[in-house]
Amino acid sequence: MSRLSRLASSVVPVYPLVGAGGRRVVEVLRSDTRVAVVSSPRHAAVLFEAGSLPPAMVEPARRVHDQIPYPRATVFCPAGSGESRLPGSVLVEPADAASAVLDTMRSLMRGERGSDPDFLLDRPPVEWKGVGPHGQGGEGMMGGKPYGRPMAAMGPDRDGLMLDAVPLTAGPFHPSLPAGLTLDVVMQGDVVQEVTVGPNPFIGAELHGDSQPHRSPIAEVENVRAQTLLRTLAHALSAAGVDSVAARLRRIALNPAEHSVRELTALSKAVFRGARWTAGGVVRLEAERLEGLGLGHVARASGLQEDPRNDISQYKDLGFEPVVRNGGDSLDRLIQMLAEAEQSMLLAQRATDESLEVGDAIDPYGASASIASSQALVRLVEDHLPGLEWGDAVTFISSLGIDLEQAAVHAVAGGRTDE
Amino acid sequence: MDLAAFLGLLVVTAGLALAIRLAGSATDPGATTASQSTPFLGGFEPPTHAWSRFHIRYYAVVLLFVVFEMEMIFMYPWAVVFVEEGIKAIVEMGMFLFILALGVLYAWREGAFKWQ
Repeated sequence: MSRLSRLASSVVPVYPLVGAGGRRVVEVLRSDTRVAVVSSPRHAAVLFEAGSLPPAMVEPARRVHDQIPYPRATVFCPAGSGESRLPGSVLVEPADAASAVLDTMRSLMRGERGSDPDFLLDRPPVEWKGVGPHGQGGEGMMGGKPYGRPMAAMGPDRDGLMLDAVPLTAGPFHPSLPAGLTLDVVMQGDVVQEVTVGPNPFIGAELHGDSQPHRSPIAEVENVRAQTLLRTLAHALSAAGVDSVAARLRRIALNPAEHSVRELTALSKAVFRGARWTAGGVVRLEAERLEGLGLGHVARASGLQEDPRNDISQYKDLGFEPVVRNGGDSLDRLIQMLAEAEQSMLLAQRATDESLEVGDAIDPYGASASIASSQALVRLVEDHLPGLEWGDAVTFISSLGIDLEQAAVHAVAGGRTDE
Repeated sequence: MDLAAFLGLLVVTAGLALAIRLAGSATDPGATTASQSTPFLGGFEPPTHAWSRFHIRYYAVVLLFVVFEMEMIFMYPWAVVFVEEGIKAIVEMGMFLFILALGVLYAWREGAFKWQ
């Protein structure tokens, strides 16, 4: 193996495709220093499929696979019962995913393993041809369809201008959006003009998750809640560009029970400073409009005292009081996530063998994963995104903590499939 | 000597540029396919090109800048002579600046500096 190849395979750049149950697998992978989880397939050499791919995500997965430059390899790590994956992927076990990824990369660099072939045809989507005999002419600015793609049509913008309206679909594997979320947006410049949220692709997939009520110790429930909140916050901070703080939060999130609350409190200033300029003042939500929708931390960040744990005696015995902030903008939602994670870690440490029934009311994956709140969150996105710049739009969505997989688990349990 | 130094600089610069170009070609992974040339959106293809025009939303600030640039032009000859002219010149320029400052305050109130 040449020196250059050895250098290339010292840290493997990996792009994750998060399928059913894949979030947890990817989080564990991130903690390994031999693997760098990158935010674009252009920077990756290995495509890491975490969890089975729902049917609606197979075609986008093939496109992302083809967008990785040569030489490339695909690795599949199961995270549940499903086995739907891209053809030609190497099967690895969750326990040694990072080592397997490293071995695959090394065999790729040594030439023992050939580069994965393309799935899609190497052809532009539309014929590049105008009207005339030599391919010239036609409607629009340039005539014909340059490089096989039409130019954007124009639409009215403010100040009486007609500007190009670019329609695009931010797909299910977008690095800054929640896994599985598809947004059909029409942009003018960098401002979102229209948005439609696509259907939840996890409905109809083989899901990993249990929404049936069962007894769990409070400590376990609160640890899982802290883990979910910290990972959502870390994802939001990565989207804001503050990767160092996100990495520190992820390290605590690997096992919150092994860390003290003081470690998390020490990060609060860094979180605030990191998110202040991107998230401050972005989409202030009024408390009156969020009442009764079961929106969890989103409602509590706007001043509402809604928390299903209020009515449970075991929590009252542990001294539980809902954490509430006034303000309601994206920064408040992010700080609310951090404060609730601290509270959860504290409750977990105080709880003894107190068991309680876990079901729809006490969902450790944040109350915002229940079906009612998932539909309300989608409505919030569709109501508030038009008029925002794209950066603010991504900040707002990541502050909501949308979890489509958990929403699908609850939807299926509730017998509803029209999410 | 100057010519020799110039030619030497030219050779070094051209050589460096060529070396970087050759290094790029040597590590080229190969031809790019249609998928690899397409912008990454998360799994779907963009239906149109992204060659679109952006609304310059800070145009009001640009107009104000031009106004004050013209004011600056007026102040250049004034700056040369106002010491000899004395208080009268200062008062006249002060009136001119005051009127323009009123314009800025009006624009500020009307939200010209908030273009988000």
